[in-house]
Amino acid sequence: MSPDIAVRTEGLTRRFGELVAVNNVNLTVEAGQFFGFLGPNGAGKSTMIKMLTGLLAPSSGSINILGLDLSTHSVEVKANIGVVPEGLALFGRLTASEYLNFVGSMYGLDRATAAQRAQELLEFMQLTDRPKSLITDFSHGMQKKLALAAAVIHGPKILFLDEPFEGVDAIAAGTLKAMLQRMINRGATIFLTSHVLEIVERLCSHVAIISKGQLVAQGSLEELRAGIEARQGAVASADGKLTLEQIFLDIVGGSREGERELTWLS
Amino acid sequence: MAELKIPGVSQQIRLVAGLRWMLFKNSLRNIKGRLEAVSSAILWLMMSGLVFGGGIFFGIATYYLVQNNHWAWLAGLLWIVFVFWQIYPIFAASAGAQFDFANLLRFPLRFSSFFILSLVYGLFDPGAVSSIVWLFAMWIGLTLARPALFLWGLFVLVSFAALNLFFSRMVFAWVEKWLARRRTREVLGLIFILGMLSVQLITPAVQHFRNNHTHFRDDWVIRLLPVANVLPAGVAGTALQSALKGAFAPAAYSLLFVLLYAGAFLWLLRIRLAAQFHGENLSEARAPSPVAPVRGAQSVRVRPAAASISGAAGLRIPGLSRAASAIVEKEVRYMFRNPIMLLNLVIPIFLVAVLIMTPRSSPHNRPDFFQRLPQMIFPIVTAYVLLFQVNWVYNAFAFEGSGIQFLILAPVRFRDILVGKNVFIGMVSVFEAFLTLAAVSLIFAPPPLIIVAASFAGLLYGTLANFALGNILSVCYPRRLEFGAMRQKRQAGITVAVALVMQAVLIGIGAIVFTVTRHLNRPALAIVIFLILSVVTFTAYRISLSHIDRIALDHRETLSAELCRQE
Repeated sequence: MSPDIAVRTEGLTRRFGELVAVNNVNLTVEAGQFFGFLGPNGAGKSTMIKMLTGLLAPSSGSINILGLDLSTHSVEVKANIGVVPEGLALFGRLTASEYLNFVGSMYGLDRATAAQRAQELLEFMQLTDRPKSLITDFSHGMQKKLALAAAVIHGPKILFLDEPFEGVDAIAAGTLKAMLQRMINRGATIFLTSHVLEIVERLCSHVAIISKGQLVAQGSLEELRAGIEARQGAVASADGKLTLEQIFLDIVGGSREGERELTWLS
Repeated sequence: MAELKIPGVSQQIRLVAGLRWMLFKNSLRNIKGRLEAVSSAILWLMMSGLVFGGGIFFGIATYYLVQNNHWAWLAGLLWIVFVFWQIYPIFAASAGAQFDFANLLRFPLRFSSFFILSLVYGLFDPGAVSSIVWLFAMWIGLTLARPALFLWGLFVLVSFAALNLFFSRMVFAWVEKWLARRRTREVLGLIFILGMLSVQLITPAVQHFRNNHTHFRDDWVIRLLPVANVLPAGVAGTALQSALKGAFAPAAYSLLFVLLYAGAFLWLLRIRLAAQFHGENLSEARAPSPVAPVRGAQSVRVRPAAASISGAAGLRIPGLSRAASAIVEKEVRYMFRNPIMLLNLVIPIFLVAVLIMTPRSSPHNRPDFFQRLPQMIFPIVTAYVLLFQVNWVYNAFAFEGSGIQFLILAPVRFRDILVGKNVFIGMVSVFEAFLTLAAVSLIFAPPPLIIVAASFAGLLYGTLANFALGNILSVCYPRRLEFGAMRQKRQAGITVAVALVMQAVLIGIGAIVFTVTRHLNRPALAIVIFLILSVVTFTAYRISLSHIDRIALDHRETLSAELCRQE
């Protein structure tokens, strides 16, 4: 596989009993892309990200990360990726600083480097005002920022983020976006899932949309727009472009017609 | 929009009762729910024996005491009811999932409905049901013995029942507030466990003081009586006793006191429930802090630099990988923040204390085991050290929570993670063994060096065997446990069964080795045997470690699902 490909899956499938959560997904993410992975609730986004990061075994299919097969080179792959999973993967009974130092050690950073990076990240994430507090006593937003700090402490080549901005205040979200953009500028790849389509539209150069376990669209925003406009001449937004929300609704087949029927709400 | 008609109190209560019924019905959809329903049914069946058996006892006892003019003892019966009513929920609350009716506050619930619901919940607690039946039986006994006191007895006992109900709800409401703070929860958890352990010391302590202090007397009960008489059960007892004597003025005053107690508890309960009703948030999590100027924010330069991360050595334990060393360091930090584990450290000392207080001779003046074989105290307490490993070795990831996801995501072999955890437990065991050795040496006499060496060799063989099996069970059957929680889900059933069989085998073999070598009068042979056994268990440990990465990979979903689950 070309080293320019950060993530490639072939025939990726995951079943939970009768339910096929992810069905025969062939996905390609090029290195250096800010990649948004979208889908309605229950479409299979979290299952997909769990499989890509090694938290969940696929039922069938293959996963290549940075040219390495995840099933045979999991340690090498893991050394080069950072993850903020759904559960945040925090150790509640450590302080933020202890946690980051521990994570640094687990990724093989020497103690001095880990301590230096931990301090810088804590300052960057504005988590320095409660040095003695345990993580379990942090608010959800603070925990999320810490999880993100832990995911980047070793300078990963690919960052997987599951709903990274959920529960994070607007100012912190701005800081995080700037940091992610800087990572992209330096050649890292970011793979994120989010329900906030405006954020994805602003940050991501490429998106893929999954619906009912199947990949239904993939490409740059321009490519997706062009595809829809060519197909049905959809109504564009005020600035003349289809928004990601319009693209998303068109592709997954959603509509807002139902709201009009709830006359008693007004 | 059509105007809404908010349901009345009784209708709201009916709705909540319907909700509880639907929750119960839906819980029967899976096997776990059905099993819980069966266990609840069995519990209620057992309880019914206690309730009706107790009822007969209370009825007959009341009748007997009244007929024979032992009226003062009625307070004793009321004390039993009071203590049972208050204590039962503490031990039984873990029997099923608790329904947090504060969740109902999102609906337009009236405060009166909310308040009554809180009381109704308390009324249907098995402890309360039993106590009410017993009080009813007391009333029957009293009425049969003294028909004239039919109405008075009813007033007093109903007031006493109300007092109990208000008190138990009040205590739970306030305790819930205090327990909302993690630190309080942990401290109380520690006190609870220490209390439970201290119960074990009562009998040996009493015997010890009786044997050593001839002036030790049992008159403390008599000295406590005046205090007991002004407490709720005592006052209710006085209300009955005075009426039986025909002294209705003191009886009325006593009943007034019962009602005052009930009113005070009701008022304290109302304060708490009102706070809950008005949206009190007991969460400890702080709101995001105001934004301060970010020092150094612009200086952060996160580089894709995985290749350059294996720099100079950090904190390393000789012979361990960096990852394993990091795990040991993390475990040490966790230990100091886990009251249960800290307690575990000193348990062997506690055992030595029990041994000290145990009478040195039997009632027939035959020397006891430790008098005959004092050198065996240390090996026996060392066996307990092995036993205490079970909690940590066989469910090694119990306290990781969502951190387990990090362990799965990190570029580290599970083998290293478990080696780190094993080294930590090994260090704790050695520390405990030395602590025990010091205690035994100071309190009894230093055990012979050969026995000490044999005990340590036995500990080595047993610990390695526990690690070999415990690592696999930790990965295959993990169970999430909470720090400092007094009542919680226990280890997986299979883990408990296998671990106990393993301890029986290990300690059994140890006992055989010590017995045989003592009979042969060759105690040094025990060291040799244990070292040979250690080689065997070390080989088993190596084999289990060599397979652990594959097993962990196969069970990563179980680990993640079980340990990240929020109870």
